[in-house]
Amino acid sequence: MQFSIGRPWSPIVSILLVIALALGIAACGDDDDDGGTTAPTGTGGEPTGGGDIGDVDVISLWGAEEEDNLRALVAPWESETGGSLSYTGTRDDVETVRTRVEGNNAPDVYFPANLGFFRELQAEGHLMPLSSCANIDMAEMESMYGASLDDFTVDGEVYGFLFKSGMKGTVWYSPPAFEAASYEIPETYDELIALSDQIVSDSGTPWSVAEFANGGTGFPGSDFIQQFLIKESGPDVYDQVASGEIPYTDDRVKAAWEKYGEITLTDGYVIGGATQAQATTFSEGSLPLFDDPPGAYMHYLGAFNSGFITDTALGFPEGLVAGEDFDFFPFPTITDEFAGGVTGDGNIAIMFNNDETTCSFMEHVATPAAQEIWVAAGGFLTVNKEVSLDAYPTEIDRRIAEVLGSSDAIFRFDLDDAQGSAPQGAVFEGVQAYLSGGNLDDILAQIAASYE
Amino acid sequence: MIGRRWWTPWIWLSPAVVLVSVFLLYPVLNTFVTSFMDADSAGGIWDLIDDPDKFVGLDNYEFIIDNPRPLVSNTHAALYNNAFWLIVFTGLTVPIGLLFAMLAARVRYEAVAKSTIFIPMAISFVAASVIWRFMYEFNPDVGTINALKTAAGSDSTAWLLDRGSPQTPFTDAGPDTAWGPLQVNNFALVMVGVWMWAGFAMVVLSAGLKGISTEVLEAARVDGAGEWQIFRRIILPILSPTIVVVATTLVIQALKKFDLVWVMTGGRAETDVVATLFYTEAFRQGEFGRGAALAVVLLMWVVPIMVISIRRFQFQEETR
Amino acid sequence: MAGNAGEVSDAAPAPLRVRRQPVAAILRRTFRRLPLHLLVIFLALLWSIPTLALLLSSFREPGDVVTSGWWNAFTHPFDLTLANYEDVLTTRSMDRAFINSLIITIPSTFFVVLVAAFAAYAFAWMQFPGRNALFIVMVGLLVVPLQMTLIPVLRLYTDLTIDAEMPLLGGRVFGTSSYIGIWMAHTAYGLPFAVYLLRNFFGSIPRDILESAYIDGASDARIFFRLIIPLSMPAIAALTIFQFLWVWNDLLVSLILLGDPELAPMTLRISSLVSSFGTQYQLLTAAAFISMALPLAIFFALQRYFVQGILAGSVKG
Repeated sequence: MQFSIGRPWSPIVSILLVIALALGIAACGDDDDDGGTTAPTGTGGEPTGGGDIGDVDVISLWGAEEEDNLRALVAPWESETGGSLSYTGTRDDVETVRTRVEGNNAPDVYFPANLGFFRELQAEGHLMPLSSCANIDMAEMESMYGASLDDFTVDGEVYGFLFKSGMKGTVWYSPPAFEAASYEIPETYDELIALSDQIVSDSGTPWSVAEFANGGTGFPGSDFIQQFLIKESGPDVYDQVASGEIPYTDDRVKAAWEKYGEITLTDGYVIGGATQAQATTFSEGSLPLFDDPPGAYMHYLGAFNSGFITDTALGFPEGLVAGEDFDFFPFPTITDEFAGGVTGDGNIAIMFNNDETTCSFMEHVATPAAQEIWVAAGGFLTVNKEVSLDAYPTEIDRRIAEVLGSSDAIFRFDLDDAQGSAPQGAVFEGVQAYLSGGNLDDILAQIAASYE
Repeated sequence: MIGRRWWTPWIWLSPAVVLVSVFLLYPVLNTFVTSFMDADSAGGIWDLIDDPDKFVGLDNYEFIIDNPRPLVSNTHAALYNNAFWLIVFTGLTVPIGLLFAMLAARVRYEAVAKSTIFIPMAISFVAASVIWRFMYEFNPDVGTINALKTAAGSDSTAWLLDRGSPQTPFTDAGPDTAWGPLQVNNFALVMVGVWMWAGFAMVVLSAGLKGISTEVLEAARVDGAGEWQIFRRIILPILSPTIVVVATTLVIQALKKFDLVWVMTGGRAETDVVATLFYTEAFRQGEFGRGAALAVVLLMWVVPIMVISIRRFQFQEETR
Repeated sequence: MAGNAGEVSDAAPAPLRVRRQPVAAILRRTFRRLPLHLLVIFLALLWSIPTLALLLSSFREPGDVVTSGWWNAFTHPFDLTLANYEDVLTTRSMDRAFINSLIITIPSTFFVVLVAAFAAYAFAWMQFPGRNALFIVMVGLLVVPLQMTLIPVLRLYTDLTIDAEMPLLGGRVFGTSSYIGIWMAHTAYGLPFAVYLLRNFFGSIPRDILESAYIDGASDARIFFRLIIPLSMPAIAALTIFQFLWVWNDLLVSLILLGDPELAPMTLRISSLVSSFGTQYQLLTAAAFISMALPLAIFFALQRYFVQGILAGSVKG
């Protein structure tokens, strides 16, 4: 027939065939690999948990080294029980878990950073209490995790524990720079402001502020404001703000915001001014501390900042030694009574079912022996009292862990993480609006409205 | 056309109809029902059957209209930004794609030239967010555009945060007018979209251009027609159905724009569009009813677009 | 070009570019075409700047990338390194992820083209009641954000899970963590655009070509495979490229529907190169190029279908 013009699609077919063939070969090769890796667990492992241990499906937001460290922490469990970690790391963890829960396909274990989300999941009946696992000894949990379990206790049942914690009462500085200018570590808020003024009058810049975090832009400011709130008005007010009993428009909240404003909006206090503060990525906020002469002298950010400062991939100079070249001082006291006030975040370990595998996994990750693996690798703080302070790799980590574990600490979970997602988003956006020169009363009213 | 049994078309259509019904149509209907239900209604129809009290009438639509939480769920800004995307994104991408398809067809290095425009399409959104970090970074030592800007003597701009003038949204005008009509950050985001999608417009239009017979063009040239005349009188009419396809697809892309905004700003600084707000409401905040109502608003937009497009097809059938 | 008198005589049958011309004419032509070349090159360069920035950054030390602009790679060419590529390729079984991406993408692309072409043929060349309404609904679904479909589809998959090992490829036979499941989902998600595009191209085929075939007694299947598909190769090639790209770059659908990380495609592995704080994003520069390579190769491979006058040639034959 004359309208037939041959088969011009045949090259596509041949391309696809070639790829398919390559694929088949690779898939076969991979099967061999799988056989190789599963063999030792089958032969060498003497399962102590009864032999029904399978895959545990775990979700969290950790990636990169964090994922490696989690795998290392879980590895002893895998070889001991024959179980295996099936891990998905995503920074959209809340959205992913919510989709999977609503799609009747919940994971086994999840490590949310968001206390508000934990409460939602618990209230909707998706979580299993730890006591439903026969192998988990609640008295032992109590002795390891103490009062930190209260946040996760509902009607006397404990639904999770703080697996990995963070501390947010840290102001970072460079001891050599402070020494060179003979500045003293401020212990009170007034001393902090006096020092800032002193630095300005020495024609330096006291603060570096860095708020940019894509979708989370404004979170460092939110952390900063929480510090003022707990140090000035104490844990009870803090809790009531978190739960919404005290409206966000309250004067005590406003006072905390104004103190944040005093530091970030005073002329000459912040390197580059408020615009640069909003546009600078949070993980790079400490960079000016190490310029010569220092671009800024102080940077407020949570304890995780020590991980950034030692990361040359973020542009920090090589060989900065914790405690010598960089250090933190505890957030200054505002009201003496609440001097021990400190906020922190963390990843809660929760479980969606209580089958043998999940229970065995949860028991393992709660143990000091397991946690010390990640503690030693760095970037992991725990409130577990049985984890030895000696396990921490640097002196700074040890001091932070000490603050968290000390008996005078008044520890509270990060306010915006505890508030729930809508107020959290509103606070982040409010920080930006405030730095852009917005009217504080309007901003607070709008944050209050987001509680509903 | 001739002598087909009545069910012949349905055999050809059935795989597509089944797949689309299960994976798209059913979720859409479910979303429609959810939009009249309360926050905890991810199950849609099934939840409503279990518990009819979940029905809340038009509350979720009232929320969109009243915009009571502008700081975190700025529905007005999201709707406005969608319109902005629709006009600016489509308005730039189609002409750029057409221009490049026409120009590249005239040079010998067509494949290379076209691939430069196409490459951005092949980049995942995660990578695109990194690339544009190198472009939009505030620090002029790193950010390309700010490096040029500061070299020319102006100040750096925070491209992804700058709402434009006035810089202070929370002033006397009140919260409802917080978002500016022309935000710098929205332009910055739309430019990334144009950069990524121009290759799409170019490839499809190029495929359309190749369908134009060389003889027709040659004949016109022999008759002494100028290039512009050939474009206006021959190419444009033949290409117009393809242009409609491209424009329609891009309009719909603009409407459902999600990934790019999500990875670059997360909808912060009033860059939310309806799709990101829908996602935040439903999946981050667990407000499934509200999220569904936003999604339904998104679906409504498509009706006029499809009507225009089907008219175009009817015209094509009458004239072919 | 148009008014060039010398070209008139030998214009008709031969393609424009292979004609022999006197040297002076070539020079004149080149000179006249200079603005065209400049414009093309300018646009091509402008469009390449971000990609170039990414490419150069992928060879720089991570610390340099954050502290100085990509253009510094020109002034310090000896500081370049392959470390980023090494890290990406050796991290967390990226090879397996590459294979997974292929397993997910190729069938998904193939099914979309096939299923959409069937439907588009019916829409373009068959009369049946409800045709326009069905077409509007099908293409209108293009506007659906995929996130909207995830929970209903996931519920369905959870209910319909067939918990048996899929031979050769791995994963389950159907349901969550199943390749068949994800192929079906991607095919469905790709259909509205594919049907729309192909319907347009199929519809533009001149009526007399098809009519003469019908008169000759050709069946629908014969017309479809022998006429429609060959005549629409540029459109099918374009569709193949896009569908391949979209599925290849998909993160969301795999994240939700492929629960088992063993089956995860490259996009998921790549996104886990970044820590929860977003640091180490420099690795993404190298990862971006690694994941772009295959789609680009396919783009070049399919270039040959974007040739002038396939349609014109067949009309004449």
